[in-house]
Amino acid sequence: MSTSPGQPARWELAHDHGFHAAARVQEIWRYRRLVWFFARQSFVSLYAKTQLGWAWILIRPLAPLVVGALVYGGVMGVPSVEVPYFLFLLVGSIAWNAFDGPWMWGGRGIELQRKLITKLYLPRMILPAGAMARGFIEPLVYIGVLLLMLPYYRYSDGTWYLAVSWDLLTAPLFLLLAASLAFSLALWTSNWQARARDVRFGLAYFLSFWMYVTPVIYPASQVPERFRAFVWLNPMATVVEGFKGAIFGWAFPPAWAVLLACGEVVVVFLSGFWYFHLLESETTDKL
Amino acid sequence: MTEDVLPATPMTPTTQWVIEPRSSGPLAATHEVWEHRRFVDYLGRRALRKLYARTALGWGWLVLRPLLPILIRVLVFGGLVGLGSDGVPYFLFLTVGSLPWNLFQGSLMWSTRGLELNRKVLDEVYVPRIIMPIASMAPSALDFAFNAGVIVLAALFYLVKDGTTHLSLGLHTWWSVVALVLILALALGIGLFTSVWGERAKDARLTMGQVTAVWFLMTPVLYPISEVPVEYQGWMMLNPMAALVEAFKFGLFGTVAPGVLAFSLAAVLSIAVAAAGLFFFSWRDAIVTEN
Repeated sequence: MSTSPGQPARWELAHDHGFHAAARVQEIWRYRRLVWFFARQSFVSLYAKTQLGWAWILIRPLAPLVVGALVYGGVMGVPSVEVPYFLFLLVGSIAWNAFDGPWMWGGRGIELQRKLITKLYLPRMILPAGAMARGFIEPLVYIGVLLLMLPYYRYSDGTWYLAVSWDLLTAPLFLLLAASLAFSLALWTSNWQARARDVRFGLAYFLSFWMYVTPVIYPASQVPERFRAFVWLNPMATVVEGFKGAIFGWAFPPAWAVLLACGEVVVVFLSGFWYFHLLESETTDKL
Repeated sequence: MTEDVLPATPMTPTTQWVIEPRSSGPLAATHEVWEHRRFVDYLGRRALRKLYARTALGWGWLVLRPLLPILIRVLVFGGLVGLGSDGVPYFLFLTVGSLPWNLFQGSLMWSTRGLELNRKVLDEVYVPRIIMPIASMAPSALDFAFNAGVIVLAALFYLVKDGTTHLSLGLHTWWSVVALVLILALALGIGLFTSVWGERAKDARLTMGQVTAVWFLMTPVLYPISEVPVEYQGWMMLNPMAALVEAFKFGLFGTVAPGVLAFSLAAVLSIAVAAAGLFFFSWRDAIVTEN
């Protein structure tokens, strides 16, 4: 691009096959306003055309919680250490849903905007990041329920169950870890999800399996001895147990498990970033 | 038809059209469905095509859909939690229990969406509206066939492994057949109500999703009814699906006969719900047609 005075600038068009991670990040930063746009959009369309409207936001997460507490805690008699089973399940569900929902919705980011991205350019990575917002409804509702239930148990059982100490400050960090893992995995799956609808169905089965092998509905101490060594390989086990530990004041997962989980998230994120870049341009052609 | 009425005049056409007001009511509705039965096939295919559109595996899901949830549940509830299964291998226990339940849940969900999914068809041609919730059950019927195939394979597997299929077929197998018919009646009965609602609002689908998830846990599919604490067993009688699923399992395993009282209650309830659904639907239908 040499310019001399009096002559118009000459533009050279060439394919750019490089990866340029820094440039990508910069570009996303320039377009950051769109994250809010897509986040807002994912809420607005949510319960349009329903009679109850926004009330669904409260109803949908609550039913599985109440029934789960009845069946797992009541009928099956799953132990819950020293807190009421409902509270135990509630706290576990907050951590799990900070992962499950954001992954599923973040993964749908491209798919939900198929029409839009065939028409105009935007850094596609904005889409999973924006759509993820929809997935935070459930954990937020559960946190609200927790805030209501704590005084109730203080009144009925005479104890807050909540352990107020500096450890409590780590609770949001575990949720952040769950959300980061969700975003990293969404980077991996959102291109597939845009290309074929059934990826989502398959993922739903996979996630339900993942939830069962994560100590959400049961405490990690219930895991049979021979599987104990493998539990912490699952980063979500660390997140869920760590979050419960922070809230109830129980022992945290071992430090190496926390480090391992963080390491796993970093690896999944970096590889997901690279993989997303690899597929994104082709995805637009295949829509 | 008219030949014996007007035989003398050679100029009259051989067919005579009689235009009369459409009769309504559950009997007329049933008759009308039978007359338009060809549509069931067409609309059923339509529902299936919609279900598997834009998927990578396409029809492969017909095989995976019944298998995946069962495999996950066997691993978790049979393996980790160690739920009882009346002396039958847990895998077989679960596949047999899931068969009637999936038929119920699938039929109910699809019939709820029947009117909503076929709105375009309804705008373009005359089809009795009541066909829609019925024909939309096609995917669940197909799932049923594949689920049944899984049972046969599982039975063969246990025949090779244990030397017995663990199944016991005989005169009592009629329990299974009767239970399936009643389950379909119950699903259709509820679906006739919810499809009318579902046509107007997405809430119907969302609600039924929640209701069936709860209902599933309260029905002895994952666990045998004998594992339920005695003080709750009386309450379970109020759930018609509990008795029907138990009766279906009895038909194939021949182990625990269902309580006569619970089963009769479930049968009466299912038939009553189906009849009420037919009444409700034809009543709504008359109003919709007028407008």
